[in-house]
Amino acid sequence: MIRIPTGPGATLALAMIIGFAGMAGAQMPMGEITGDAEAGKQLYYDHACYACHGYTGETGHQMKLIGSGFLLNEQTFIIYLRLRTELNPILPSEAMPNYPEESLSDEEAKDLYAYVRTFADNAPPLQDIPTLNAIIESAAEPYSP
Amino acid sequence: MTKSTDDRVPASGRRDFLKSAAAGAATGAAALVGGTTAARAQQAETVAQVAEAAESAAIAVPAPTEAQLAREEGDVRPPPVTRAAMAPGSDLMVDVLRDLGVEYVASNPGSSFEGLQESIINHGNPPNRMPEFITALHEMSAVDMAHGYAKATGKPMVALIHGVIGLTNGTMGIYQAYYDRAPVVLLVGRDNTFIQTHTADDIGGLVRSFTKWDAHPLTLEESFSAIQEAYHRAMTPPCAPTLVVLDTEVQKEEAPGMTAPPAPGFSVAGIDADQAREIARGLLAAENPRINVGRLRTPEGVAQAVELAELVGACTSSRAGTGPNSFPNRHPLCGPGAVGEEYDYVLGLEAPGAQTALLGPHIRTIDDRDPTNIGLGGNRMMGRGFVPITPPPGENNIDVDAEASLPAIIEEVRREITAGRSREIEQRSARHAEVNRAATVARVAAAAGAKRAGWNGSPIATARVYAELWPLIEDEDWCLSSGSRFSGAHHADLWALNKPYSFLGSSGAGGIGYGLGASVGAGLAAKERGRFVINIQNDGDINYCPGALWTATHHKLPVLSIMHNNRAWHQELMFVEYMAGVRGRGTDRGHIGTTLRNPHINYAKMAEAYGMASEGPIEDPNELVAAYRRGIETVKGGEPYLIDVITQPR
Ligand SMILES: Cc1ncc(C[n+]2csc(CCOP(=O)(O)OP(=O)(O)O)c2C)c(N)n1
Ligand SMILES: [Mg+2]
Repeated sequence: MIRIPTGPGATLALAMIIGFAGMAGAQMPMGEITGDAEAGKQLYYDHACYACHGYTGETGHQMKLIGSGFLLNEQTFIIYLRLRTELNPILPSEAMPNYPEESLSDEEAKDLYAYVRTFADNAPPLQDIPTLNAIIESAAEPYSP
Repeated sequence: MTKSTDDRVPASGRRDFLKSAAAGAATGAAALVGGTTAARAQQAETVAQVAEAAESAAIAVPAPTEAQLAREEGDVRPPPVTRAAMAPGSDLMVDVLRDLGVEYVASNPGSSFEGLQESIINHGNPPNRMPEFITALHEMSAVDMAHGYAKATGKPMVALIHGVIGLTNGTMGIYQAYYDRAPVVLLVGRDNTFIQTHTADDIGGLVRSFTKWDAHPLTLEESFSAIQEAYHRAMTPPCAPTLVVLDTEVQKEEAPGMTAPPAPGFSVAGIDADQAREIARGLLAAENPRINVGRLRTPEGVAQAVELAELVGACTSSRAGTGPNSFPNRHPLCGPGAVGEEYDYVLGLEAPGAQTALLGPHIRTIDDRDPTNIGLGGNRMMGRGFVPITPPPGENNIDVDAEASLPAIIEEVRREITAGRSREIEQRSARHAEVNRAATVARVAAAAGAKRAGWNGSPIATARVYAELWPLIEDEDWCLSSGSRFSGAHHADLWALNKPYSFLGSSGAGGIGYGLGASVGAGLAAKERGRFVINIQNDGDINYCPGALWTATHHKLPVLSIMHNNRAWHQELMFVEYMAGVRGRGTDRGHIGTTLRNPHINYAKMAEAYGMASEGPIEDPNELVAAYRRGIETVKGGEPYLIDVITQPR
């Protein structure tokens, strides 16, 4: 189990881990995957991750694999899931619900991570979507009330 | 056979139950039957007697009479006194409504207005026209229809409501129309001679805190003027629902030789001539004026705002993305203007301005209508969602309705403008048009780029639900009727919103269940005006009053409903999920009480059950366009259509 350091001194350390991961994510290679993506898919649904991130991580609050320190590796992912305001007042993770060990084990979190890592940016390039191009063209048309 | 209203008393035994309760009341109650206005003074006394008798018989409500008992059990004969009416007063009420221009009366039937209902459907040439009786399956639907209609047209239609029970059903609709500043006229039937739990001394009191005005006229003449006053007060800013209680006896009163009084003239006060001149001069003297446009009251107001902006060559802002009756958002003058553009005279029309802002009264300024001290949060000057009515002090705001002030300003501009100024204005307008067009294209292109996300995904991205519609409707006359926040509001940055009714905005108070009824009301407005309605319909919302689907089918309304079917009250799922996370337990149980699964609801079949053409559920985004085409063809042919689309939650 990944131990979340507690106590006053730990707060800063945690903030630094997450903060560093957040900043460095863009440059650093992503970590190893040890979980089971199939099982993760079910967890993604059961724990309502889809509620905010869409069923494929592309809609709502999109999950950006590249550049997100929280998705850098299993450890940063798990720490992020576990962080609550009282544990990390400097950089609280308030945007998301929290997922403590009691509700999502490390093993499950790793499965979830494996699934999230399967997400791809499936959005076609703009030029390949005639509808959106038609919308842009229509914006250029003369005004007709 | 009427069903027992009290489950503990079987219908068969109910008659005896009521009868014994009535024993002591028989004498007094007889006098309740019928009753012209002359008899009504006496009525209070007899009601009191009945109540007393009922109390002695140890039941909670006044006992019904023999005649009431008979009527409740299937005898539909009205009291003899009302049988031979040849010139019923309710016919004249219909004439009054016609003369006011009321097109529709939406209603779920109730005997407290049987007189008026019979007049609507039979009186007039042709009968059941101006107004037409629109059958609603729930009172909230009837009020929501009037709410949607009011926003689509800028004028009221009527919701006709059955006593206390109908009004309590309609309450949330009224509440939302109030906070949405929608002019709606509520006529409430009252029958003090029938089931006592359906009536009250002061029915209007039930909704007084969130209606603008109500009346309980005692005579026919008073009824006519009350209806006229209700209509005009509803349309006077701040626009809001008004209510008239119509006693059954008054509706049935004989009115031989009487005619309906003509509709009085109506106008809203605007600024005075001096103020109008000052604003006109400010706009004309400025090197570069700007006009911020908020939500005006009617389409005529929008036309005048456009006229003024064009006359003075002012760049404008618009709130068309959030609601009706604002500036056309693709008008060449609408936009930010050039980067770094300086505006030396900024006029606000129901929006903040710098030099002047014309701001009509807010609904919060009605402060004498909370007799029971409910303390409605919507009236508070604080809290989340509170928007200050007046911009910061030091600005020259005028508390006056902007729309009503526009004609005088336009007149002054026309009077003061010189040929030289006109030429400059023309050049400035051309410059604005070019810059604004480029800005619009850039904005739409940026939005389109972002909407690619999840484009081919299933469930279908809400952005695609909106995007695929645009090429099919851009050359049509349409109205987006439903609140759009939960489905992403993608119309706001992808579509041109150039008509006062392009987008009708949200529910007014965040109450779910409004969308379908309001869309049917928009459909009533669209029907005779050659438009059709697009309703992006949330699944949670449709399940409050799905009967409005039948109304759309029955009355052949051009409403295309496209489900945003995320199989949940999704907003609430997110709240509960967050709470479970904060409390550190059970994050896999947030779906309980927040999702619509096991079983999934089949909305195409739901529509079909109400007689509406439909298809779906569609899960493949590539099937959307063909379905939309079928839907649009159907609504253009004058029938509603529903497409069930399984969507991403947000
Ligand atoms: C009358 C009423 N009851 C309950 C609520 C609480 N509420 C807010 S959002 C929501 C869910 C709406 O579901 P739906 O219309 O399907 O939209 P979704 O969030 O799923 O996109 C509910 C029930 C409300 N606003 N109004
Ligand atoms: Mg929903």
